[in-house]
Amino acid sequence: MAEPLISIENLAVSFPARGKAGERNQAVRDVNLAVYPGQTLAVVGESGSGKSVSAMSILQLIPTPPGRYDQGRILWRGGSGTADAAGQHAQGVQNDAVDLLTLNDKAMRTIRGNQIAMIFQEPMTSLNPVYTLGEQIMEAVLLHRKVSRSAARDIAASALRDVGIAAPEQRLKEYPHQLSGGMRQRIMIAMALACQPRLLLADEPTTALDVTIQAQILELLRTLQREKDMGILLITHDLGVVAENADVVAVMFAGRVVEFANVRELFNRPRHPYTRGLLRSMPVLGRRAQRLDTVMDGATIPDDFPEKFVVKPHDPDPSPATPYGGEDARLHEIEPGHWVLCTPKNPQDHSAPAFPRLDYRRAQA
Amino acid sequence: MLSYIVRRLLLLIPTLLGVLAVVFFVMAFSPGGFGGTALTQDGAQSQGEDAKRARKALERRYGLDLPKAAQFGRWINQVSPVGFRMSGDLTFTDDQHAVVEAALSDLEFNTRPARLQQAVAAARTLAGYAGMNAADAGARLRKALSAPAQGVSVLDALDSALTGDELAQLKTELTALEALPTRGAERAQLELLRVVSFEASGRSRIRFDRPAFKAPDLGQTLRGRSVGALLAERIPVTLLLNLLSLPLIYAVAIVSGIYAARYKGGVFDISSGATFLGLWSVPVIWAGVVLITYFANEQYFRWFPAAGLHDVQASSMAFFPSWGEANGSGFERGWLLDALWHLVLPVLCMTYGGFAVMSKVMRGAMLENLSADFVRTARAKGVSERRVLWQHAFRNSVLPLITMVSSILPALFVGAFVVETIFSINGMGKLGVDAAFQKDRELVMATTLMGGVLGLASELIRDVCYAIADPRVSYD
Repeated sequence: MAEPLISIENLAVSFPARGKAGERNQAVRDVNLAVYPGQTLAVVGESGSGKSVSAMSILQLIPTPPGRYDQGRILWRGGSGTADAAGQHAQGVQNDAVDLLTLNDKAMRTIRGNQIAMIFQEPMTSLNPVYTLGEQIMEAVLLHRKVSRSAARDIAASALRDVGIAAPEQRLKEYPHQLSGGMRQRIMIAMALACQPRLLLADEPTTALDVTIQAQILELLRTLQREKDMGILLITHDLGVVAENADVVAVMFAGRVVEFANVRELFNRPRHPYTRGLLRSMPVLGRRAQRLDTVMDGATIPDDFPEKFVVKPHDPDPSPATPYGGEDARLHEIEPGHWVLCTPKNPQDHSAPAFPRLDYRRAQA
Repeated sequence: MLSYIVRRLLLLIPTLLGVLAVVFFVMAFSPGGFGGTALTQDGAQSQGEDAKRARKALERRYGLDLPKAAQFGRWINQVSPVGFRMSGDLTFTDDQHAVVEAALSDLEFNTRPARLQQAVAAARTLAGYAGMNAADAGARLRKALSAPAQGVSVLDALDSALTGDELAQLKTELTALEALPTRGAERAQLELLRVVSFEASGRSRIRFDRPAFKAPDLGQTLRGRSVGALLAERIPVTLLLNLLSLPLIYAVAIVSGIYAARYKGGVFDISSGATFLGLWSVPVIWAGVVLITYFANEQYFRWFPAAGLHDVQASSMAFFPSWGEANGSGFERGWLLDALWHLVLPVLCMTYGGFAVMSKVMRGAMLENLSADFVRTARAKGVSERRVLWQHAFRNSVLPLITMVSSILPALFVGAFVVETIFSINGMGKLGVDAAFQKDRELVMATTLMGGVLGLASELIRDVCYAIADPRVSYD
């Protein structure tokens, strides 16, 4: 099996607890994810489940302090050329992979925006209001490519053309406030893709947009992904978006990945009680309901769940100190290609927990 | 943009008129009125004939017996570059001047050069009023002056406000002066000249039939000095103090504010914040005295001079410091070093309290922008921290900065009354406050006018800077 583009292993990030000196809140813990080239990994979960922290950790965008990377590795295999040279000196080199967490800020800057790019949730505020769009797109290009300004301008214009913006030469001279939200998100995508990254981190890229624009943006991302064989880590809490776009889905809750499977498997046969609750809580068109199901209530362990494993019931009043699923719960591959956060009944007679990785791509429509 | 600026400039005129009117009428209706303070002696209103005469003289000189609105109109016309000539407002050519001078030069009063010029000015006023040519006016004045008691009729030509009684009294006075055994004629002539010039300046009418572009005239102070000349003398002093202290305040405060935001909660943030707030809380009036006591005092450290901006011998110093072998006295500090030496304590006094506000404003703005989404975007693009700070966050923080810095323009000229008083510096601050105490109309109005123009201009500049700094701001 080919190596994934990026694999996050046992990542844990914590922040100081507000109002309590010395204590720290575990934002994410034992997070394991992997993305292959050309694959879309959707990370779903409710607010505060650690989706964004995981993604920001990849680029080391979490300010430290107050944040802290407690443990884990983020192995990156998308590097080539200059980035490799930077990586060779870092201690985390292994199987031609670089551990991003060991890189210093200077080495990270050659990766940010270049090999790994990120687009954010708020297109209205994510662009600098005092610079023209051209200046902002060209800034990334000029930082990472040894090109002249006019060449950078051409790259920026073609990036705009790629995301379907008419008259790109004109647009380059405009300011963000002159554009609508959907247009700004296109600009954000163009900016992220201008340097042709191997991996795109899309942090809820469509949340602030109306459904029509949302569909356009996602379609655009799919097209660009196919053209450039780019991995996408798509963060969302919209299960519809997941079903339409993802190849592989990771469900996160309370800072942990609770289930990891390909999109069909996950929607057809959810195994973890939280995932089941999540899917049940979605309103179904045409079905009358007095109250919608809440995520946890009524979620049960399915009958065909392997008897060798147990999932601890959800703590109704979870505290940051007690991790979800118990201290020793790990992701176990309970079926081929289906990882669930659970605990073996008998610790001796089962294989060690596995890092989830799934080189699966849905059939192209 | 251009049409906006023109519109704002036009709006500036009524605003300025409003400011001036408020100051003018508040002063006009205050107890004692214009110049009221000059008429008191030892804090008490002086009584009797002297006081009455002084009051009357003041009224004549400034036209204070006119309705207050008319006084305001006259003042506005006087300072406005576009307006009407006043009656009596005339300039002599050199030839005319010579003719009049010749006509008046052999009279008894002409014992000092200034007196002859005063008489020529009176003749010029007369010519302006009565529409006479220069030679006629000179002859008319000469005739009046050669027999002062009979000559009071010359006042009729000036449209004088003297009543019949007053005229009779003036005549009696002049007769009495003429009868004096020593220098009688000279004193009578001078008295008549004085009355003529007072009458002329107070009774001067706006000639609505003579609109003109003219040089603005800021008038004369109560003590008879030209206000324009006085300002020209004081402004450089204040400008020097402020040009040293304000940029210092802004430079220190802005840079420290930025770094306090960059390392929020760090040692520098907390210590600079605490220091600046502490300094801000120290009253200038106390700090100035303490500085003089400890650093300009033989008993402690006689490091700096206690008062003034120059040594008494500064005007005879060379500009640059030198080691003068010529006079054998060794090191000479020279004019420049002397001035800087004198400036240390006053500038210290003017700066120390100013850091806090500006620094905190800058820190707040930077903090807001450093946590903004677009800064996160920039970091995700691979932009370095330094570039994030100065290109992305700082560029967005200049708006509050513009607001603060735009006040620098009027502030440069305003002066600091307390510091100037403590260090005996004759700057604008002292001038303005003294003028207000004395209710010196021309001086108060001149400083108001200057402050108003500079204040409004800086607001306009500020708004234009907004549009340049932030593309979202547009006035069209």
